[in-house]
Amino acid sequence: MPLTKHTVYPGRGLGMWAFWLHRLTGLAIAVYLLMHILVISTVVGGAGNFNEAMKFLKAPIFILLEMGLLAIILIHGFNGARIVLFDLGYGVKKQKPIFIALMALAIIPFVIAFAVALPHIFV
Amino acid sequence: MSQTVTLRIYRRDPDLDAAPKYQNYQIELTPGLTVLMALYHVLENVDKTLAFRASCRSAVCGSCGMHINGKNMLACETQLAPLGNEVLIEPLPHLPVLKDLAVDMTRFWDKYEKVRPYLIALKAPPPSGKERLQSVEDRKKIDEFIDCILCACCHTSCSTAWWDKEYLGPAALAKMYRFVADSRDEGGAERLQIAAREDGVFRCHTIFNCTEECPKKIPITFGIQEIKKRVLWGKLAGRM
Amino acid sequence: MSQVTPKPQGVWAWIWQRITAVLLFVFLGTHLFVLHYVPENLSINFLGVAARFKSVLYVIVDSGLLATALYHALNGIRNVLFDFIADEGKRGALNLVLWLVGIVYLIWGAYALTFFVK
Repeated sequence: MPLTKHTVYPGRGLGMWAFWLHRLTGLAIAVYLLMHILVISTVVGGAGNFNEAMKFLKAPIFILLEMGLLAIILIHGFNGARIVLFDLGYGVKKQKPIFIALMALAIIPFVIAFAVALPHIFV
Repeated sequence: MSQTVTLRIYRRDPDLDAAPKYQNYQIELTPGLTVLMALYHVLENVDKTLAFRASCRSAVCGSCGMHINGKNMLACETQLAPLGNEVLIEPLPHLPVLKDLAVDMTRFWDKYEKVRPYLIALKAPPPSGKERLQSVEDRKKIDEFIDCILCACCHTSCSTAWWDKEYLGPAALAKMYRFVADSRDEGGAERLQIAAREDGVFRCHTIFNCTEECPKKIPITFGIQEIKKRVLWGKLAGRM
Repeated sequence: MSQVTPKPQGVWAWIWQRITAVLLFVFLGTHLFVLHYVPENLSINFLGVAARFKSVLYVIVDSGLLATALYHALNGIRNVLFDFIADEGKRGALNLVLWLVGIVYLIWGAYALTFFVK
């Protein structure tokens, strides 16, 4: 028998967006992690190639991408705190304000990091 | 000057139609007109082939859960006027469509059954031979969860329940919490074992769609989190 | 009567996902701070990395990060996929693959991390 299909529930929920953000950022970080371990571990192969690779990765575009990565990590981490909070039984009935507050809070470290990185992006 | 509203209704007879089609019906807006009254108007005056479920018309029986303008709600308690000039009416998402707006609830009831949705009382009944009493405070703990009318609005808004066909889902878990939190119930350990399986309570990703959609405003996610907590501490203390 | 067989394997994975999440705050926080906000580390090159990996404390922090991040990431992938895979056999196969990937990565990562420790 046929089903009616919806991939994203349009509903009324901020919780749905928080969930999708968490999933997608999580998967992105997982892919980055597996790449990162492989790239950095080439250090055991000696100075030559490793220094080449690191010099390549210092290009402004990669610093900019790293800022994107930081944003993704902050979203995942701060929303992760929200999830752990719920699992301990706190704030379940206040999920929306908690999400907004945590995302607002996550902007602070991002702005600081961006300010620090700015001279390296626009050299 | 009367105002008309267009009902855009999902139509599908799985025996005849390969794909669903949407049919428009014009209806005159009268004061206090609900979505369900509008559907009855179409059925009685315009199109006798329209299929939908409804019974009590007063948000008690839980039959008329539908996907209206992108949200799950009860047709009987929803006023038509605030919904706009064109109202999209579809069956509850991700359940097999029997015809038009009527869905096959088998999966929903199967899961409901799994949580043992009845009082498990092992002790002998009180000497009076009458009901098992409960303090006012204890009754308060289950106040909200006793309101469930099994309309499946929560279950069909839960994306985990769409994807993982084995997942118990919010309605069954809310019912489980209603008994787990009931001071008279003694099936707690048995119920928590059911919640602790791979497709039990821990597949809830706290998306909160269920809580958002519940027409009875039951804090379903809160109940699910309470079950998680009980299973969690039971595991950590080695009781499970 | 009993139509449900309790299979409680999901619970511990769920608990560990939360424990590693909290640990990641510490490990990843340290990792990011040491690498990006300590002036002498800003330029990442062979000698710098080799020097850092000689510090036992740093290797301990990064090993902790390696283990917790791998668990959290792979179990996270498992959580996502288990929403879509109901078949017990496929679930078992997926568990096996993820454990293998995790162990290979852990061994390789630990080898690289301890490479410069004398």
